[in-house]
Amino acid sequence: MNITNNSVEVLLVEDNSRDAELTMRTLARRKLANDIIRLHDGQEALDWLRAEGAYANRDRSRKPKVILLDLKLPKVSGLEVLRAIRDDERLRLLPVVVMTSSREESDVIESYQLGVNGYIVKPVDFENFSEAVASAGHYWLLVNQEPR
Amino acid sequence: MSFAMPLPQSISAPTAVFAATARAWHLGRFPSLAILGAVGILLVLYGLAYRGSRDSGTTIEVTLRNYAVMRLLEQLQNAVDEAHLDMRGYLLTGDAAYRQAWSRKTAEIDRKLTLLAATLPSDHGDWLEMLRTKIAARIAWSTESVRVHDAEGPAASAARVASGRGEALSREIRSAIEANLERHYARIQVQLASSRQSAALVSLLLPLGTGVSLATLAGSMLLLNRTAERQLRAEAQLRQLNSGLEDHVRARTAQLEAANRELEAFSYSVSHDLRAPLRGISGFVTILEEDYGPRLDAEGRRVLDIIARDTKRMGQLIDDLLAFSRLKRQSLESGRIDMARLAEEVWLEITGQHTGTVPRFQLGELPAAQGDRATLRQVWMNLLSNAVKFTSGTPDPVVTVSGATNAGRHTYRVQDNGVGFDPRFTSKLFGVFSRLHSEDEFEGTGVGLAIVQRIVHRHGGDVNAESQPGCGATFAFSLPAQAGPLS
Repeated sequence: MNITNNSVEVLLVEDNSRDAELTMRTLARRKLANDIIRLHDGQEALDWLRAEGAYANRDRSRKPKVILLDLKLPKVSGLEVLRAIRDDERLRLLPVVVMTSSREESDVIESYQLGVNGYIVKPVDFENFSEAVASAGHYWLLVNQEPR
Repeated sequence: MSFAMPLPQSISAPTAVFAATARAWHLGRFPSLAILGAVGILLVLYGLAYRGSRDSGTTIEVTLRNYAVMRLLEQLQNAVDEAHLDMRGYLLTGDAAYRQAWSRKTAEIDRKLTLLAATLPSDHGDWLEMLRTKIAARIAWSTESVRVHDAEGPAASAARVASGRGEALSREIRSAIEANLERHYARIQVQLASSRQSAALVSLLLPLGTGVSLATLAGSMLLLNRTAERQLRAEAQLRQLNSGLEDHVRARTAQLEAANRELEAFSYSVSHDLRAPLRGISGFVTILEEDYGPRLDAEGRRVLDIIARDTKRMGQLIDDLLAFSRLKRQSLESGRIDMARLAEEVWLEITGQHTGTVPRFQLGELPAAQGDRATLRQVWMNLLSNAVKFTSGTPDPVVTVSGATNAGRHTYRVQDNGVGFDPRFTSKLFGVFSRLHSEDEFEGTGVGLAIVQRIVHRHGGDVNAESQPGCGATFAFSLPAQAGPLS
């Protein structure tokens, strides 16, 4: 895992370290992303995005190509983070893809209502999981054109 | 109604009829006995009244009859007396007028006797004979006195008179007539006495009977009223209970629904919490395989493989269990479904991904069903994939799908010529996680058929299965033809 200060490709907001490790491993192995920043909870995510708190001094010009957002986060939940992102003028256009174990219809609907760009349910077994991460990563990092 | 002792034949039959009628009219024991009593008393009173009026008639008739006879007897007596006086007159004066009068009187006596003969009851016959004889004797005596008078002069006839024989005869006649008069008078008295007795009885029993009858009727009215009141109270109680029951049912339903929701939320969160570590296990096993695989020997790799496979299986179990529990909370929609097309669709989907031999598919005509498309699709999916799975070892696998409509139900059959199952365990077939084959023989979690049964039952239908080991199996499910409420 490399975290360079010059570019950020993926902002991974995931509280489960194993899931985070598997995600980052897949993205690295498939050569989809080299620059992944992993954050542990909703508050940390907001702090980073707004360059506040612990991240007050980060370089604000760095924007992630995609934010992979888990919903079940401590402190501030994924949906609340999503809402905050969409409410913030500076952050509104960032592509956000929810990656969660929740298949609940209500979560899906609310996410889309808040303006999420994609919703992925984490598959149970690793094979499918890494496939999902790979294809999502491929699309959002290589195919998709992000706003600058 | 029952009686403690056996009744003689002639009473038991009507009693049985009466009892049956009382039962049919919903009369209790006491009211029916009371009514029976009242009717009986009324009949008795009627009998008394009838007898009373009949007695009156008899009395009048008897009295008039006897009175007529008595009058006749008196007239006879008068005639006899007058004849006697006329005779006396003639004998004393010799006046022919007296003699003529006497002749007329004897004729009248004769007439009266004839009338008497016709009017007297038959048991007076002897008496009448006796009277006739006496009267004849008296007339004969008088006739002789007249002859003596005419022939020998008044002195001779006076001597006859003085002898008193004529007197004696007259007295006998008188006492005979009086005796008979007495008899007739006595007869009237007897009749009157009996009549008076009758009247006394009636005047006693009539008010008494009427009183008892009224009392009985009043009593039965009271009893019937009480019965009616009891019934009204029972009805009121029933209404109360019913409304109470409805409230109870509502409360219970709310309780059950709440419990259901809790259970579903629980099973959902459990399955989610169970999934996450599984992902971790399978992921890191893969990492092991990818990164350290070359450093492991065959045994090490085999062990990793086992771990990976079991993890996958556990994931499947969790998914199946979750799907099964979700069936309860899903709401079903009802629409018309082309079952043949659906079955074919599902078959193509299954066999599209199937790696082994694809069994021959024989699809017959299927009646259209009324139900929820998504879940019925699941039913076909499970049944057909089972058929494919369990014919995987059969040389010439065939799967036949057929349908029929019978007595308001549509029945659909999936038949295969695969391994079949032991029919002794048919009842276990549809249980959750219940399997009749081992994991080594055929993969599967044993929830598929439980899901099928659940879905079909929610549609108001039935499932069953038949098989013989080695001879394939037939699974059938039926749905009501009419769209009923989907639970």
